[in-house]
Amino acid sequence: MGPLTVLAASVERQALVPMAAGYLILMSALALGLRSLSRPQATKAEPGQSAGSSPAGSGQRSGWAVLARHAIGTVVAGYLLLIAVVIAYYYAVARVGPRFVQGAVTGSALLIGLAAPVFAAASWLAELLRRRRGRPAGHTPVPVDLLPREEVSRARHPLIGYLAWAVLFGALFAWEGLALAGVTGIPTVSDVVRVIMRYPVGRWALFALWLWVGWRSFIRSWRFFPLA
Amino acid sequence: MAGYPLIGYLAWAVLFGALLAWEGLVRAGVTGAPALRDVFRVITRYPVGRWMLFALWLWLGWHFFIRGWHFLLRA
Repeated sequence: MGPLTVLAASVERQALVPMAAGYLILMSALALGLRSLSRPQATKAEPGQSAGSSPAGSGQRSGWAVLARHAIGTVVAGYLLLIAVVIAYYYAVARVGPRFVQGAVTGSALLIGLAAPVFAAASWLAELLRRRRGRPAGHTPVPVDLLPREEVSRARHPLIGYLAWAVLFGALFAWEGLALAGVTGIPTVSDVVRVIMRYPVGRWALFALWLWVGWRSFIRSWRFFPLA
Repeated sequence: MAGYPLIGYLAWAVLFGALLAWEGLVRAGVTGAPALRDVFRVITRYPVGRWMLFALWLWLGWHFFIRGWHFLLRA
């Protein structure tokens, strides 16, 4: 086996396979979600959840319990999933550095610790603004994906719209794959981020953006209050 | 610029610009297509999808802001 063949195999393992796998997994999750949306059911709690987890008829206390279970489940399972992927990548694909796994375990835990109070403060501020606009508050908090089906039916859109997003994300993954494969002249997204973070303002802006994306994606969509 | 020609960075700008432009068109109601939050909502309908998205978000944060640092941010 020549050195070029070894290099090509290494590039394929370390760059193209993870990018392709990541994209396919993400699109599979999207396809599963779309499939569940198209199922003709009267009400829809989260797959795997009992109908009792619906907010309808449940008290304040059980609503908070559902929310707590949902939040803790997401954080713990997401964290463990990340660590599992990192360990698998380290042992099966590339031994990228001596502190890679340790860094992932401690670093991502640190990020969760940093993000939690920011999310709490952002939610409190959002609620404050909502009250100032004269909207009522104090109802049971429920993640939108646990709401009855008809309440989330506005999430229905033509399939072509989801395909457009799939193509856009496919372009991003493909471009990153080419960059990781070492195609001349293409920086990876990490190179781009490194340039932006060269100055503190860029670093702060990117970190704020990351926090905002997390809050919008995992917290903001929860209905703490009825008009959220 | 870190050993890459400007055109390489411009390509990323175009890609992210296309993403933002599409989101802008969707929000303006021009296309009738789902917004990015709708796509996320569909992905997170199943717990596994939610865990995956959370893991991806966490990984991005770790990769860009923390990785390479030792614990408690000692460089």
